[in-house]
Amino acid sequence: MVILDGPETLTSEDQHSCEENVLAFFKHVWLSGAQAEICLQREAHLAWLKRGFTSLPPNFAGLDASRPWFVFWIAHAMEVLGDFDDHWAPKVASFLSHCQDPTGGFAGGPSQLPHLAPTYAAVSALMVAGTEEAYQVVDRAAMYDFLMRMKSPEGGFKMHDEGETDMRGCYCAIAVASMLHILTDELMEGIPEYICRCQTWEGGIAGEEGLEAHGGYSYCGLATLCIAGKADALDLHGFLKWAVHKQMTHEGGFQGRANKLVDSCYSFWQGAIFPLLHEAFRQGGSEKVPLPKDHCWFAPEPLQMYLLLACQHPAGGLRDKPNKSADFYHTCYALSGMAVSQYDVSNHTPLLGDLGNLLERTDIYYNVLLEKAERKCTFFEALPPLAVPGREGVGAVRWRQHVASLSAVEVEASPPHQAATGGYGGTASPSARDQTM
Amino acid sequence: MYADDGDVPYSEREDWKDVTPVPQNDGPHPLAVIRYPPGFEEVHGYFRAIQQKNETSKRALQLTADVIQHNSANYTAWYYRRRCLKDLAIELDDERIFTDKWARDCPKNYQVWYHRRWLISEISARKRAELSPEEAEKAIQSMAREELQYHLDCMQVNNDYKNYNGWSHRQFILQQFKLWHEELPFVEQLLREDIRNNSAWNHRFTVVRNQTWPLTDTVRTREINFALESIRKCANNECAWNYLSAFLGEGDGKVSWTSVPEVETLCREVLDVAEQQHTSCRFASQALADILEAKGDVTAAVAQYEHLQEIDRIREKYWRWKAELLRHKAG
Repeated sequence: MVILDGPETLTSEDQHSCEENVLAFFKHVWLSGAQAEICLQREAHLAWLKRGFTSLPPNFAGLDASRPWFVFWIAHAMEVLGDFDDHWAPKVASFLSHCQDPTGGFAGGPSQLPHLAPTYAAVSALMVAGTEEAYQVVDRAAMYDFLMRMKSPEGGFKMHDEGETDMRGCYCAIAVASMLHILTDELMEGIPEYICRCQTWEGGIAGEEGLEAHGGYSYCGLATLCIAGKADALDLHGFLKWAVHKQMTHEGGFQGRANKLVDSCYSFWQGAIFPLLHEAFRQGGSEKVPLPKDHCWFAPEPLQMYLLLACQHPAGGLRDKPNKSADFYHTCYALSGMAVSQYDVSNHTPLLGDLGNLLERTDIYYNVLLEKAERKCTFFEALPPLAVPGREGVGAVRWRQHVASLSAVEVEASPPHQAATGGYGGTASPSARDQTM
Repeated sequence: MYADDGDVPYSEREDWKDVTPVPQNDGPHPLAVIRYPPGFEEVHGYFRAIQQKNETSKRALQLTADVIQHNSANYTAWYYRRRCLKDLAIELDDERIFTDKWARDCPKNYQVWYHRRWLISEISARKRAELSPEEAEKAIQSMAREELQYHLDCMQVNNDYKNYNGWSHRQFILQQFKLWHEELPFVEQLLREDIRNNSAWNHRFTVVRNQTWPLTDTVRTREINFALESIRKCANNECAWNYLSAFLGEGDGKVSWTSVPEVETLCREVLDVAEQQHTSCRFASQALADILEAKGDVTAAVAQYEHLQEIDRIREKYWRWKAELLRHKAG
């Protein structure tokens, strides 16, 4: 006796109602033929982002220890939309300099303790600002000391002095060190072993050893190793097997863990795992694993359909899922994920809708624009080395060199009517576009 | 004992007269400026002043409670609170009650759960220092079991059985106080209530891993059978299939896909039922492909991947690549 769908439980009830809400948005477009709605509302998003950049309402008081995050989320969302205006750069530099601690690292706000999460947010935001003035805000020698102080005896990094250790710490510390060209062997010591211990029986990576494989922590662990060119330490095939099943059959977006609901932020955390894995295989030697030449295993158009149809808030900003309000975190990572999905490994652009939906290309290791990663590299490479000579992570450098060696980006837009009626849920329906290996 | 002055502003409190609040310095070009609610700036102004003085005192402890009331994610306030609790050697039972509310109401807050973890470690260290070894052990074990119950309460109150920080706390308690051996019935209860709860499945694996490692054949067989039974009850449940493949294939603790014939039988049974109902089951096809590959039957395994390309369109590229990979390996 075999039952395909056992009795309803909390998980299946939540899933059905979420699916219904999402499909209602899709059906609206299919039935009305309102294909123009598969359109990124750039102006609405930008206007909303600009308002938040300067002023936030009182109900944000609970996020007062995350202010550099707001600077990064908003600045990066703007740059991905192709509209980070130069006049913001000095303000970013000035404000973040007031969040820097004299002992190294950045805090969630002025006079708070330095913490790895706002440190990553602040350094990334300074890279987005992209000026020498912004780069020079960081006291790199003090930063290096701070990062070394955060190394935890059990492996990994503490988030702050006497604070918790989890997978976020690895990514924040190593991404920051790499962006600032102060990555060393001593900083990486023990990190691959720690991350491997957190790769779970499912294949993804957990926040701590023993916990559940999770999209956010999986990106953090994988990207850390990829930056340093050490992804081979993981079971990459097991990782990929886990990750592909996290794209939702009907909704098109990603879930963060098995049997959880779709959430737009995983468009980036899960979506960026695929090009990272592709590049990890490539750097590991493609004679060992023949790689797909123009794609990264997941389906970009359904992801974009989820984001464009179900996640754009009419008043600006993007949301986790329908019936939620827009917020800066989800706007940043929904757009970051959409950008990742719009550039494949051969510089083609699997794009849903017309060219107006195309976002700027990002660096998959740091999640700032690719051009900004190149720009900061030129600056930091020319600086004299610190007492402990550091560098940028070799994996991140090799990827940029590889991308530069490819032919220029070729834009291919898929007509919305085909993609929107393609349908990935059922058995046989016409493909959105011809996909070849 | 906390925040007992209620609504009296700090500036009007007799015992705070000696302190001048320190304003926040955002510099000339602040960004992401929060329009703080009433009282927020005053409390934080006094908190900055106390930090500058490096004062750990009862009033500083009470002030951190007010800061946390305004922003429970203020990790600096929690950090400072721990410093006060340590320096003043304050009785920590009240502190557990203080964090009860925060962890229950803000289950996604890292700071609260970390504070609670610290608290439990600190309390058990103090009990070991103060009591006889037997009494200390008894008190600590009883506290640990209360913590496990507290985790269950939090899940029930919020009707969320997948909260990440909560599970992290539970595993910390089990590890710290060596309670893994009592945990399997709890997991089975959660899975009876919701067979699709992947957090519970993950917990099951972690419990098994901490009870028996390296795996014995008996335990592996028990777990494989548990997964097979579960698949029978709900074959479209990804968790059970993933759990099955945690014990099969290549790698630490695993045996070959071909070593348990019941797995192939069940895969084929599921696929038959699915076909009769004019539907499909990607997990059964995937497992069958793994089995066929392990048997060396490349043609049949490739056929499964081709079938998967048809029935599971969103992963079409992955299945096509899996077929290519297999052909490549076979030469």
